[in-house]
Amino acid sequence: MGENELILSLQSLTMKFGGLVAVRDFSMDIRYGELVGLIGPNGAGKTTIFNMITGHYPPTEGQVIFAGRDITGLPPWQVVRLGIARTFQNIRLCREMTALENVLISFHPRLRSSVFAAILPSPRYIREERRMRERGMELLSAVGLEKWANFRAGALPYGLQRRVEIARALATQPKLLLLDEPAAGMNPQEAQDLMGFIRHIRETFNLTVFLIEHVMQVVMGICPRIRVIDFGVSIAEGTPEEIRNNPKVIEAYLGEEALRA
Amino acid sequence: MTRSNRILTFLFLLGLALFVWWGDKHSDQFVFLWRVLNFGAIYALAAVGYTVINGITGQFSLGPHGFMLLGGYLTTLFMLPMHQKKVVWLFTPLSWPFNQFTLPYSGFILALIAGGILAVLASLVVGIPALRALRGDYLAIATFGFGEILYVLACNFMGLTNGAMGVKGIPRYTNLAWSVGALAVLTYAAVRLKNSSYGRALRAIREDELAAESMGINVFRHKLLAFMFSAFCAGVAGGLMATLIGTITPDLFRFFMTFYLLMIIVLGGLGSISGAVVAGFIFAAIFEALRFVDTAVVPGMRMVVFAVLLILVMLFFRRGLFGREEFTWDWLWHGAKRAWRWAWAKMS
Ligand SMILES: Nc1ncnc2c1ncn2[C@@H]1O[C@H](COP(=O)(O)OP(=O)(O)OP(=O)(O)O)[C@@H](O)[C@H]1O
Ligand SMILES: [Mg+2]
Repeated sequence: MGENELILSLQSLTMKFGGLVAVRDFSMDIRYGELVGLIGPNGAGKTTIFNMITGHYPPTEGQVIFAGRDITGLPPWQVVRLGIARTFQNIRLCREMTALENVLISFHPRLRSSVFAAILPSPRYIREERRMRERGMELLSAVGLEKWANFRAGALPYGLQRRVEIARALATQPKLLLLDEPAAGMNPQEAQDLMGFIRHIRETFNLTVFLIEHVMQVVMGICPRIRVIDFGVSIAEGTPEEIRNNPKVIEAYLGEEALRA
Repeated sequence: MTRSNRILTFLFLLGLALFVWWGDKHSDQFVFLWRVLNFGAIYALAAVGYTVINGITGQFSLGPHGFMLLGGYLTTLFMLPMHQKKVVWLFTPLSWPFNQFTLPYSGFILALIAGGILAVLASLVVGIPALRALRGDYLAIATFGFGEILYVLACNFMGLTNGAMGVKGIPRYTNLAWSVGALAVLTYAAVRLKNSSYGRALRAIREDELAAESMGINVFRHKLLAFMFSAFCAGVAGGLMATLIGTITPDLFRFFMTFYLLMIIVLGGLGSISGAVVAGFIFAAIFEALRFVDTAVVPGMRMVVFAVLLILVMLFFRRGLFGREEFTWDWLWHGAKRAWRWAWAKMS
């Protein structure tokens, strides 16, 4: 695979909900190893784009090409198995389960033993289970969460929950990681730390990262390339510097400021 | 600790086996108690399966009575002696192949398993369309309808069921060895399932289906798995019940049966297997003890008493007796230690 090959290619994606066009004719290419940001005001359609990639919403029009393969319309559980993992804007952990168990869920699809073997349990299942737990702990250590492995996920502070959610996504062994507003609800310092963390896991796990952010400042420091959408339409793309000075972007965000005021 | 736990479990099972052996031997001296324990084990068995789909996986099924009906009738058709088959199916002849053979006592286990398997096949027929639907309540509607359809079929398929008159003279093979034995085996399976990787997937589905699917879990297949397991337990329970009572009619497995089971799993704590077992026996004990209420006061009064009891439990133990926890030796040990300390403090 050459450096410039595309890992993800979104081709004229359109998503309509009844009369509402949430995303219109959205196209974008992402190369292997890139760290790309997607920003836009509230309701711009950012999450909807993620949902079309992961198979949660089948796009009304357009194609999603992942690693050269058309994955449009595949159900989410198949998309993950191909190598696209995600986190959610409003953290979606299994709150009653421990941090480790949350990570182990992601290993389950790769379990080889049948359900009968698991019930017995067969020696092979026992080996597989032990191996899964080891790997789960390794992964939690790699993201600095080993202390929290046996804590109920719902009882962890918000920032740690976000990290568990990212660890759980990493456990699916993704090539592409989609993060939907990972810093939402964090103060500026926490957001900075999280961005450092994302950079760290990207290098450790050799990932391509596609990141949604609402607050412009947060992505500016970490993403070399940023795409902006507003009302479902792509309005700009470029380096943080270019984006900051783009009149259309300023207008979109000013519009939002005006609405808030 | 795990080593001593294992020894404790072994001793417990040994004690249970001895008790069952002794209880079956002296069943004529403790008729009431023996009956309560058998019913308790059967209710508990169906409830264990039911809590796997309703409690652990979080999919609201209203189907167990239908699966019990299937298991009950199939076991009956396998085990009813030939002469009895001739007497019962007097007007409409019994259908092939059941008019050709009957199984001896040694085939009882096969008949029970066959009842379970028939229930599993039926669970596929209902579950494949209902669990594929995106909306959760489809399963409740589909299973409820399924139970009603089976009832009507059981009333009208004279050649297999002898209709509303039912079947009498079923050999009463069920004793504590069978009922408690089946309960022990399937409870072990349920506990193992819950604690395995498959069980984690089921619990993840209950907590956040979308998240589970986003981690690569094939949600549909896992729901179906839980549903099939619950159907198997119900099918076997139905077979045991028919061969405990010795009579079977379509009315034995109407919706009230599912309602009982629902009370049991809620009482035990939704999703707790130990809770389902304990509550199954409690239910049977109270149910049999209150039999006089129905005969002496007003028929149906028992259910009113039960509803009140259930409300009380919900008021004082929000999440049932066990919550979602399971019984463990450690839990018992810590409880005992705490009680001991408390008693010690009181005395001194
Ligand atoms: N399932 C749905 N049904 C109907 N409308 C939807 C659905 N999902 C999203 N929308 C609408 O599509 C538009 C875009 O929503 P989306 O969640 O993608 O925005 P967003 O850019 O992620 O915003 P935010 O910053 O608030 O997260 C909104 O108007 C939203 O109400
Ligand atoms: Mg969003």
